Amino acid sequence: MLSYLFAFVTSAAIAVSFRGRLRAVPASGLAGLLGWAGYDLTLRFGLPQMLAAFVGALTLGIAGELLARRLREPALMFVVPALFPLVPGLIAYEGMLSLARQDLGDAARELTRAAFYAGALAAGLSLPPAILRRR
Amino acid sequence: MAAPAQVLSVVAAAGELLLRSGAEVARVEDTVGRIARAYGYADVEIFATPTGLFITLGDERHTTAMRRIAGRTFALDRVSAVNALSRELAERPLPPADALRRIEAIGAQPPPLPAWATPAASAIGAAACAMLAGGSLSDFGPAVLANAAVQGVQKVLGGLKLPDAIADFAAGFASVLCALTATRLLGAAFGPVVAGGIMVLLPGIAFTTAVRDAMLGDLTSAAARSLEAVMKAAALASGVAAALYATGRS
Repeated sequence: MLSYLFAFVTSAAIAVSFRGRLRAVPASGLAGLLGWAGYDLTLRFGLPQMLAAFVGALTLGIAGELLARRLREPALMFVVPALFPLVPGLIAYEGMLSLARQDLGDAARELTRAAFYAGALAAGLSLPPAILRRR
Repeated sequence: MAAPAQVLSVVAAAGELLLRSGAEVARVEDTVGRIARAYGYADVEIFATPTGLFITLGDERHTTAMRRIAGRTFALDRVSAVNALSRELAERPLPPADALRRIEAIGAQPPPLPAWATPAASAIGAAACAMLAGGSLSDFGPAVLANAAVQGVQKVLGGLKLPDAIADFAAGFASVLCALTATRLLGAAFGPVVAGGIMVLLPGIAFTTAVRDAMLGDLTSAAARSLEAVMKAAALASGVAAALYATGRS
């Protein structure tokens, strides 16, 4: 349960650090919390991590679109900070670290994982705007 | 109808500011197109990439502007303000000189929260995110300190105008030194503190945006962002690896 608090804090703090407006800060935290919940609950059902990343991104994407309408801001305002807890930066870094240690097998495994993970997030993120935005 | 050169200076300024503030290329092309149409130029070609912006208005002389984008840092308040301005212009186009002044004012506006809030929030956000990646609560404080130290190093090196890759290498190096000190003095776990130190610099968002751009067909942007992400991860990891080697922990 502590992880949900950390997800909220991460997203809200990153919103401040990326120069978000004050009223967007709690909203970003909320979107980050929901995205993390989508990810964490999917994992708890024993489903694969890539699917969890997809569900997490989908959840936070929907939250971002709804918040964007409510607060009349672009969805990017909430989606970028909320994505931060889920993003595969650490996996890519670990891959590169393995490369520096000449553990080529680990490096290939982690970098490929980072790429697929980013793909799952991107797929989850691109659905909500496509479905919810009608012009 | 306003002269093409004037309209072009407005749309180019808006697009450049958006790209510098971390907006996706699809949004930039959308916004630039909307402003150009507001001034009566329905026929406009826009090519935005993370490193450059090209706009051609479809007047009889095909007036074109090109802008080089040197660096990208997230400034969500600016993206939001330019977005709002573009909607305002679509309803009621201001004289181009006024619109340009508005865009320049957005580019110069200070952060919406006090200056100390940004580094403090980065440190807290980074430490919290490192906890998500598998730290325990007792590592939170050391991770905040490591991040503060890394931000200090980045600030000093940024002042020296060193290339980003060097600054990232130094950040990775500094993060390991902080983590070693924290393990020794405070008994913190090593990995989460290193991660907390460099968390905000890790290219997770760039990686994800790269794949998203590729899905949308913005292939040049996708390639540029992936390369940026790979370079950044490599520089950080090299710094970490060098520090591990230098301190005999590899």
